Amino acid sequence: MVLMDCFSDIGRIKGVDQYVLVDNRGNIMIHDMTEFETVAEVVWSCGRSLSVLGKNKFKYAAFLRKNKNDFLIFPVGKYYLGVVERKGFVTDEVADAVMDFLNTRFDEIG
Amino acid sequence: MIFFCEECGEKNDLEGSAFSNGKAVFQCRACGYRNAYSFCPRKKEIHRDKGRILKTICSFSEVIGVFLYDTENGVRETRMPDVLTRADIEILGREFFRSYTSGQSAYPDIQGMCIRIADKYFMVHRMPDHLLVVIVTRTPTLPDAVHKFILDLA
Repeated sequence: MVLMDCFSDIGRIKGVDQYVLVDNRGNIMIHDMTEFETVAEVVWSCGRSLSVLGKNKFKYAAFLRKNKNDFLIFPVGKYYLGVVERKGFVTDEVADAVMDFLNTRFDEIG
Repeated sequence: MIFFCEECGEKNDLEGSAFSNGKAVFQCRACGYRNAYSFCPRKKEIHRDKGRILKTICSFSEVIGVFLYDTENGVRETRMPDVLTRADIEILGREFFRSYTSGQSAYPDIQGMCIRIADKYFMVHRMPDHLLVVIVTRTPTLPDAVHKFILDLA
């Protein structure tokens, strides 16, 4: 419950429009997103593949979109987080903000 | 669009007005040579000039390495650091391509991908003719000149 409360705050990060969290089996844990099922599958498949590739050094993947609502994937322990960025924000700044948030929260809850 | 001088190999950034009857006509900015050669279809240009294209991209200080990945035949050309073997680069290309196409299944308007591993950024862009170009940089955005160069190729 504490973990899910933590993730629900992700929507408050500046630049984050929508998000979905999946576990390492692809199960959707929490989301605030339209068409979350298709996106969750991408988050799980890309997250797993890039995590294996980059081992524990994989930080994030950003998919750069023509409509500027870039889409990002983060590894979070045994979960993967997908985030749709709000238009008008700088992608690597949003990525840094999400990573800072995750690091702080996970330090707090251990 | 970037064109290379036939005499000295210098890259010249040309506007549309430099094209006439299917030819690129321009005076090289470095050596002054008057170039006038036929403009080949883009996909042939990439295959023909892949060594020079990668060399140009690598000439920017922010760029650590670059490779071209053919989605049907694997790595075509590489200028990656020696610490990575050919097999490592094949795996990178394959997984980046998988992720790119997977991303496009949800968002068809994807134009590129940036993957951060440790403190390096892997920029992935699709090219014509089943090619991906992967550029490794120290910064999360491509230098403007490299970005423009990639857009011209794509």
